[in-house]
Amino acid sequence: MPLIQIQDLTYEYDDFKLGPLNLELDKDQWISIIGRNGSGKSTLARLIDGLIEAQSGTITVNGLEVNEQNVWQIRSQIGVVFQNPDNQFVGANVEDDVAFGLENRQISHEEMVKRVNESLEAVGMAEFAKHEPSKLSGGQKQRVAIAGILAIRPQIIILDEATSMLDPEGRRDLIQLIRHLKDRFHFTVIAITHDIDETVFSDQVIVLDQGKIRMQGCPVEVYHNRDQLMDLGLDLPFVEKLKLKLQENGLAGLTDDETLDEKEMVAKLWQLNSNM
Amino acid sequence: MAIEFKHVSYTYQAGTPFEQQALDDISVKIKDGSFTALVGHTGSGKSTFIQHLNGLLKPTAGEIQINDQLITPQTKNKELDDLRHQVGILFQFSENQLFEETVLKDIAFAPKNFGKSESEAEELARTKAKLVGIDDQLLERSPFELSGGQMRRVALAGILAMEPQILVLDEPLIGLDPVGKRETMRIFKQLHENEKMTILIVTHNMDDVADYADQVIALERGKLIAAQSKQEFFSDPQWLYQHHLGLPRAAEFAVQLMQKGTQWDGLPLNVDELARQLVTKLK
Repeated sequence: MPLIQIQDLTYEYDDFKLGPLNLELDKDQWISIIGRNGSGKSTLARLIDGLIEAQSGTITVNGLEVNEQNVWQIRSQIGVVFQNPDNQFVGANVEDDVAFGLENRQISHEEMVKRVNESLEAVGMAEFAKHEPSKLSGGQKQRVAIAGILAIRPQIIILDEATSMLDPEGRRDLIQLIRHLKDRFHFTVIAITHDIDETVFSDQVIVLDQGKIRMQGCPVEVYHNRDQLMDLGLDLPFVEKLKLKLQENGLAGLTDDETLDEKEMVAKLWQLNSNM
Repeated sequence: MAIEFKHVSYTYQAGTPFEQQALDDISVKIKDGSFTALVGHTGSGKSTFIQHLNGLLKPTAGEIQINDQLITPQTKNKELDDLRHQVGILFQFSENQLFEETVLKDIAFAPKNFGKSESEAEELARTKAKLVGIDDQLLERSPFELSGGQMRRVALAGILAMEPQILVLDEPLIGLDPVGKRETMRIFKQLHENEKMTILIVTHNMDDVADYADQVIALERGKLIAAQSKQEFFSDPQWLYQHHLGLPRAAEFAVQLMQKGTQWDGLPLNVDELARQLVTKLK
């Protein structure tokens, strides 16, 4: 059974319409959702989290249908990291903030302390436990937000443009950290992003446009369709862009190559160079 | 000469235990008609720096010359009124600053408030809306019905309606999709080239620096660590890595090949240049 199953889902608001969508997402996968602003990415995430209600169709998460009755149980399995690190702090210091999500969950004080420490340790922020959130960098704040989510042991983590306010180094570190945590704790990631280079290692990419799924598959399948991606107003991953530019300059040997990884591409180019 | 900082320091909460020096003895010039990128990490002093440009903050030491206006620690706020006509700042997430009933009223608000008649202000608003690519038919709509990218353009038009010569942009591209980013950057470029505006853009994105800026200013923990042309700035990858500033994507890729032994005829800063140089080597 898929972890998330979406059937004939529609949601309308003013002149925006999402769906009808049908989608199955498996456990332990990294699923990237890309698309232009207003394509329905965040709406879809909110529907899964039960923050908004669909007009028709169903979503089930882990066998539970998303409805008024189940919404709290479902939400306890889903953590969301938002775009702006400054909008998600509630605690006076880092450890209070991480503990906040554990309150009202009938968890013993002892267990709470243990989980807060473990979670801060996991994101590399243990030494900041007593710090005031306002003194942290954007990347550190996002790490604390992730620690707060890890503490509730979620099955699904939704990244809603979670890296867009960070500098390039901060972005890379955060994505690497989440990949590492995913391997360790086995949760599913749904990542909404405009940075296509952040998605090339995903298990699955979903491209939304005007509320509909236009492309879906593993990154190699989806991103090899360069023309369709550009027609949808999206960027190409850096390595695809390079292949295209090499072709335009008269070097066609790599045009159909499937590599999306920069390091692999460097190796291939170096090999070509050495064979000259 | 558009802007000159002379030994400018700024200390928050001076004389208290929370004292924090955000700018430390900064001397730098930003030339008229330049397109300058201001880069640096969180906490490097970028925000403090730009708030000095229209008098939101005054230096605690040193002085700033902006066109004919000299700003010193003693300058009275009243004397800074005129500065707000000379320097327009588009802050982060500027779409959140819209508040009027219609797009037109929102853009016309500032000039009306600064003494223009209703019809003059509206005329100005129409011109500026056109300049940033807002369709006439949107002018009577509520700004809150627009997309994020359109709302940001309305906010920009509102700033342009003050007719500043200097435009300061604080991370103006965050959250925009690729098409929105390209369109917005094209507008900034037009303002720079056609309207001859001096532009200072705060950004984390080195690809944007490489594609659009001609000068770069870099801050680190309140100190100036670079003020030079874009070409000079990107000429020393080692130095950039040391300061965690990073490189444009294409340059980063080129450096990986360089480490294997590839020699570049000037480090490529964008994918076109990278492909061009690669093909000459591989053919």
